[in-house]
Amino acid sequence: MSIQRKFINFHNAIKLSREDDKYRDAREKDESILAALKAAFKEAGYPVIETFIQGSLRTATTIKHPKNDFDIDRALVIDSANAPEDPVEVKKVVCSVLEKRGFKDAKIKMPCVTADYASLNLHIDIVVYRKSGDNYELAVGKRNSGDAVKEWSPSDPKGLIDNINDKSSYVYIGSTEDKLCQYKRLVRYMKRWRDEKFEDSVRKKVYSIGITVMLKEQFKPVLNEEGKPDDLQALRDTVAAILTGGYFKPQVDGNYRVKVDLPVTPSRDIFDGSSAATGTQFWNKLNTVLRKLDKALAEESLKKQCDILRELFGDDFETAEDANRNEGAKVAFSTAGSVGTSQGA
Amino acid sequence: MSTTISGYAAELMLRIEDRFLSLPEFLLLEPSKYGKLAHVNIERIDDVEVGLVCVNAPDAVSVNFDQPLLLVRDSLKRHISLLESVMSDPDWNDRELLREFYSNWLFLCKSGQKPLLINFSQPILQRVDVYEPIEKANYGLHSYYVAHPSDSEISKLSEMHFSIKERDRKVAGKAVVIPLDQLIPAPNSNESVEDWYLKTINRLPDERLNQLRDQLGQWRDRHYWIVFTAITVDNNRTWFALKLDNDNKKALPLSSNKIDGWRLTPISVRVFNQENVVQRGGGSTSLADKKVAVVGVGSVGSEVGHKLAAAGVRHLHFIDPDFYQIDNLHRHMLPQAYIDLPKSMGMVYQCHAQFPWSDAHYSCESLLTFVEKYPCDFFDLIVIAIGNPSLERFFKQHLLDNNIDVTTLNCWLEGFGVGGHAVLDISGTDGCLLCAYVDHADGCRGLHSNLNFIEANQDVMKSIAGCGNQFISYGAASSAQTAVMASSLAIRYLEGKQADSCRVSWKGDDDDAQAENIKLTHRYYQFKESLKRLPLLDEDCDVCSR
Repeated sequence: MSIQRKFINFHNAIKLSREDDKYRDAREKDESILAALKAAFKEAGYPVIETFIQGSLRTATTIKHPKNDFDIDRALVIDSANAPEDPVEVKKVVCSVLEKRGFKDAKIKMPCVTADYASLNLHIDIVVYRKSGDNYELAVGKRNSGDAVKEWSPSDPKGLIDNINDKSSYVYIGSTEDKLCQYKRLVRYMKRWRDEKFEDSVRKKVYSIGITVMLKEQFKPVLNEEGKPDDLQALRDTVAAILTGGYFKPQVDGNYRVKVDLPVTPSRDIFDGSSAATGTQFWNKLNTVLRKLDKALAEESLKKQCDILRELFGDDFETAEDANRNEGAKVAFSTAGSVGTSQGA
Repeated sequence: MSTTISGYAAELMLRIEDRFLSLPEFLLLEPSKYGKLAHVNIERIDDVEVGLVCVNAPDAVSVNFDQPLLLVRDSLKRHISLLESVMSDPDWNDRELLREFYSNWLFLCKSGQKPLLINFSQPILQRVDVYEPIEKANYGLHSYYVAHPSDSEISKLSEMHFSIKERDRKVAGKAVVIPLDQLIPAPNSNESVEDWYLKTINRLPDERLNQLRDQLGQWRDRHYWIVFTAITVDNNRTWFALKLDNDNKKALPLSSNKIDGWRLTPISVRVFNQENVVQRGGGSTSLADKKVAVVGVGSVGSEVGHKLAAAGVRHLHFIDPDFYQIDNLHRHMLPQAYIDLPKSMGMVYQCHAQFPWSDAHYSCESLLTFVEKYPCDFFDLIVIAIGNPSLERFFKQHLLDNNIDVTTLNCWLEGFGVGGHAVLDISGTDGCLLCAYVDHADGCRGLHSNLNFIEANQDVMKSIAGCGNQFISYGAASSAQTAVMASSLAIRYLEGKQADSCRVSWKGDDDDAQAENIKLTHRYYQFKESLKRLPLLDEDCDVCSR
């Protein structure tokens, strides 16, 4: 078995999609909450005109968390004409619905309303936009924020999704989909690495969206001449490019601050307000990743490669022995029902 | 010019041309005084005897026509070098005389005369009928005199067989085949032919001479064709003939006292046997007994079948349920006359018509029916050219499930002229067809070959007449290119030169694909190994990794 196949097995072990069985309870909860939110918004005088999933579930970069808790990232859109002047008003409506539906600790944060559903290990983030024409504005502000802070802030939620899924860059020429899939796998690998390697307090501040954007901007696809992906090399090259990509600003005291701008409106720094401790730890650990990946690349033994990668990604990355046990025991069939082909004779 | 060659004074005369587009000729004057020299043919020009020196085959030399003096000087060097060899080394001269026996024989034959076609496969003493040409026939096999043995292996559907047996040709006389153990160099002139003939007969072993006198030459006739055959050098066999004519019916003359009244005319022959015709066409007689099934007789399969037959594979079995249609004309081997005939049957006719020893058969069946009916391991090779990855993978699974040990060669092309592929799956070696289907994205069995240059799940079909009439856009050059590549691989395998499973691709231009917004794979853009045989094994193939 190739090291690439082991990466694929690792990816299969950590990936999560909205359609997965494991996500079923969360999906059902999301759907029932959505219905309640729509009813409440309608009653409040600003009916929901559009709703969509955003975040990693929308971009197919979600991973399973080690403790099996699940996220819902739901966006609600109301018409600008009906929207209250105070954006926090709509967030209060969200908050009250969540509280009635059994969520604990529902909080109005600056960009969203967030809450946990303890019995399902479910975490929910709900954002509200108002829409005028094609323009979206995000409801920003906390429950007690002053008027100076509260605002309907121009935003481009779909633009971000499009940016993540974009494959128009020259690096995607030839087997475009395979390269985009490789990018998304790398995002999942790095998110799992983040979950494995950072203490809880820092882990929460190494934002998924930050990792996703850096990887997107610095992505170095690697397929061999036969078109076979080489995730190990691609991850190594991409991490190396991130480290030299200008995201980490050295401070005079030897620490680092990380700065990654959103690639779409409002183009804010994703890590705005992030501490030097976070930046420094992020920088140091990324450098460790690069060293370990280089070591794995130089290693010829599959066993040793797996051992190195398990140090980075945890136990969901199979050992070489796991590979041998599985090998030949079952035929791995395609998950596609059919594929359009260009073959003729 | 006068010169000295190997101690002999020699005079060479340049034959002047307005411009030299081939090697300038130097004639050797008074050639007879040097004895019989190889590569020197004696002719009379204006009643002067000259020797034509054969230095090179004209097409084998590219000449500098811009510098005629250089060219003349170079040609002179070549002439002198050759003459030095034949004059200074009698053994080499004798060997060369034998090697070029037939060329020298041709010098004795009347120019413009059609050769005698001889269909002998074995150099054995025998007598056969000679058939007259059809009257007023200027071309085709029926325009020749033919010496045809009754046990010929020529296909009953071949033109040769048809031109003899079906055209009611008259028997012109008898031909006697005489194998020679010792070949005397060809005579210098027609005047010496009788002497050469008697010497040659005289050197025959007694047993052969007796058999000739008592069994084969006693037939009294006005005409006899004698077909001689002998080994020259390097185990090469030559065939040539003499026609003997007499005003009265007489037995074959085998001694000097019987030769009076016979006129002896050297005649050229065209050997129509498998060994000569196949090898002259670049084929191999070692393939004659190989059994190859060609499943799918479309644009690629028909070309593959044709090339295999041309290479000398006699036992081809064509399998295809489709009928030949007008739509097929511009990218298929078959002519218009075969419209509405099963393609497999048409290919059989075509093979028999062009390749006289073909033993092609056909079945109007699909791959799946074929699997059920025929023992696949009967074949040395099964070529699959159906352009249907589902059936191809299914067939592979059938072979695996039933432990059928047979070599397969799958070949297909892709639309828009971007390329084509062939996969040789030799049972028991590294790699199999499914290696070419490992999905690189997840290492599983894929549904779309990883060799392909066009990304999956695109609309590559075109339609002129709506549903049911869709087709992939590609030209005959693409299918022929794919077929030639696949055939070469098949032939290498059948000849024992390719012992490992492998894959081969050719890459074309992407203009047409770009014009149709067809997305191509990373492999297409990186591929630089057109027509190279590459290892087939994919380490993630579940079959090969067991």
